[in-house]
Amino acid sequence: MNENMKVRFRFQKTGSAAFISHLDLMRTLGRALSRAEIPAAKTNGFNPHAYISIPCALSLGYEGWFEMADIGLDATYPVETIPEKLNAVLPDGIRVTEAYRVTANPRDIAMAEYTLRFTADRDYGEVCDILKQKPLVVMKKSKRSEEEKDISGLIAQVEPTESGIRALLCSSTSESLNPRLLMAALEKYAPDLKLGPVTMARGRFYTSDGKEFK
Amino acid sequence: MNILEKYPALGEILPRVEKPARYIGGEYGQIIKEEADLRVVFCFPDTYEIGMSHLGMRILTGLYNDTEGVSCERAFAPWVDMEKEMRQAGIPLYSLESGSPLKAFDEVCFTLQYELCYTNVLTMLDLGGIPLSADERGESDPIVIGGGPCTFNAEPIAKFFDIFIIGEGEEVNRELALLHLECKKNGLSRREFLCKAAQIGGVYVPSLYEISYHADGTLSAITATNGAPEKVVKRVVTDLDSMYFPKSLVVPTTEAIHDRAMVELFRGCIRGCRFCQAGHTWRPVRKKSPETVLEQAKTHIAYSGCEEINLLSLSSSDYKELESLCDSLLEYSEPKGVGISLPSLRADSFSVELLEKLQRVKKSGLTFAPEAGTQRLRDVINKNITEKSILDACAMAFSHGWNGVKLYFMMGLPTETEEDLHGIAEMSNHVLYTWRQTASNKNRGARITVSTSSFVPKPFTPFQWAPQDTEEQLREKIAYLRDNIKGKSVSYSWHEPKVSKLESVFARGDRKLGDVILLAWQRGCRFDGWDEQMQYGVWKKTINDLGLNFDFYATRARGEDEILPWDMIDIGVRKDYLLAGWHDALEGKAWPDCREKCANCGARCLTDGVCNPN
Repeated sequence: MNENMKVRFRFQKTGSAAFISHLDLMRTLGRALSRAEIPAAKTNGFNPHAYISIPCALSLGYEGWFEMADIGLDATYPVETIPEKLNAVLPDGIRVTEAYRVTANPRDIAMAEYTLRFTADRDYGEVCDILKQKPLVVMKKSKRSEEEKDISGLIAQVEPTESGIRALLCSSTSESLNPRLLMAALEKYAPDLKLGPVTMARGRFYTSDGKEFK
Repeated sequence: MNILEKYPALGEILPRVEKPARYIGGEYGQIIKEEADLRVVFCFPDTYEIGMSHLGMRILTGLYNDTEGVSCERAFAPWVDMEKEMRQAGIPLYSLESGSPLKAFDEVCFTLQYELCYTNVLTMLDLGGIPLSADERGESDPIVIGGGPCTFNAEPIAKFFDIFIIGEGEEVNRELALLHLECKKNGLSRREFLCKAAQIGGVYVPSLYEISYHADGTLSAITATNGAPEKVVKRVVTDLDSMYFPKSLVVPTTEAIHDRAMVELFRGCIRGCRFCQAGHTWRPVRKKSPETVLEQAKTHIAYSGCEEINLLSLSSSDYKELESLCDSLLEYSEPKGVGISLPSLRADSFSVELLEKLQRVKKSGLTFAPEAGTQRLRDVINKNITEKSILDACAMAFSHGWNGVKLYFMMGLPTETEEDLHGIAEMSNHVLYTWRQTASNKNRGARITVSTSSFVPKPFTPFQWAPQDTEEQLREKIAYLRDNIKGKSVSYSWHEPKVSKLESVFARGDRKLGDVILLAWQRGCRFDGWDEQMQYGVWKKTINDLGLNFDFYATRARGEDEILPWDMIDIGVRKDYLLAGWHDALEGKAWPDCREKCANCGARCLTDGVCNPN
């Protein structure tokens, strides 16, 4: 797609909408664009549909507060009208907050902020301390393999909040850390720690020099 | 509504179950009506993806919600993993719109699309907090209503339902809801309401009919009581153009099986294939005008943002204005990248020019249903199509660039011999030969898919008296075809005979099967239409444990003077017409279609004489 056509819109995916999968989200956004009559550029191929790129897929079951999607729109299109148009036709739990012409390349994303909410039988500060250990070795499962991995280098920051912890985790094209592994680390390094069910949410994105990625 | 707020335990459960989006609701287009005097929940007794593919549900939920004082929400059967989780966590089956348990509604309406969903009905009632048997329900329980194709013989599940609606819901449902509203306002009892409901045309209240049996298990009498009509006459809409059609639709957030906009072209069918229940039960033929189809199609495309629109009917190529309609629709849909799909094309009235036009937007495969392998057997089943027209259609398609075709056949049809089976293999060879002769581009090779299903005799067809093949016979026939359909370009697939067998038991079953269904469900049977879920051994054991057997229902030929379990239902088409069809089938005599010559089947009595085969 022509670079000067690129438009990025930011949206929240909250509540039960966290259980809309990445693939279903792509289709849902595509249809919403069509319902809103936003003339997004189409893919070529057997079944042409709106070209939508979501740079960082969100795990199923996680909320997203600053998610982003890129589409192609003619340079004259009034992008500021997009949030209102889309919000009128989106399902519950998905809300577009802003839309703008894109300059930043998603390749520059280095970190993502996650908020983990849970109940614990000890202070959230203590929980963070467990996660600050080096090395922090957990079992990393993928579709093909299962391997021990030191994740301490992928945790840029971890701090307590009122209802859990906030962590800044590596999230780049070459490597990213799923906050699920933080829970795995807690289970391993503090087996007597009792945790309630966890709600995960992804927040803002950052570049390697700590600036917010927009 | 955020369902997690209503049932916080779902936050833990949903990450563990398959396709959690099935259970969250909140889709674009859902209708939430806060105030209602009569609350209806429309239930589809299968998964969300299947239920959301169903046009009838779209129409009828819309119809209820457009009725003053009535609200309508939706519920689907939870998959086995979710059912287990919900039971463990004590979460009731809830409606997607408001998260209310099913027992909180005034009417719980099931659409019964195929026989193998019956155990799911029980799951939904039970998880919804509603007593399973109609006679155990009290004044505070919902009225449980069934509609759809299975209600033409719903006897096997009669004990679980308070009311069945025979015929088209657009006609009956609102009338019934209004009566229910009035009875509720006046404080009438459940029983009083049911007796009044039975006076509405097309309403069948099974508890008002007593069934008695001969010693051999066949019916000896059907007796209507409490003033219920002796025959419940099917209701149909006369004018499809003025019939209710929703302006909006719920757009699924997770992919439905048929994830597209849909509009009907016509109801009924001019053909009268003798195995086909829909072709008889939805008579007389009534069509929507092209103008109406076009307008409704545009409305739903724009509203939903779907990438495809389906023009539905039992035989799309029999719609006379099909080409001009598609041209007009393409003018609107093509710039939007919305494709048109046409199911149920007949090889003898198919236009390759039309298909080519449709391909400009969305590529699609080609499917024909010869149903039987020889002309003799196609005459028996009244599928008035010749091998030549099938090969001609294939030749035309191959020469225009298609390289694949799917061919659907049925096995175990009445009078079938080895020669007929051989004919299926032969025809696939002939199609392959045709491809070699005519294909415009042979580089990618041919893909010919032959599929067989097992014939299931259905009520209200000329074959309702016919025995079904035994399981062994069906397996032998499959083995024969596996050995005889050859060539790497031709693949063969078949439906599991066990599934067809159970379908056949329920299709022509009687009320005695109610206890079988209940016990099999208690023993864990769920989603019986899904090959991997079907527990055939449990079904066989259960039916034997209760002193019944599969053969009585499936493989037994019915006597012509036998009282059939569905004889209290009148679909308009006369029994003597069906019987004449059965006799002529056995002699291999085909009949002309409704356009060629009206056979006076009787269905037009339902529409004051209106029948429009053209």
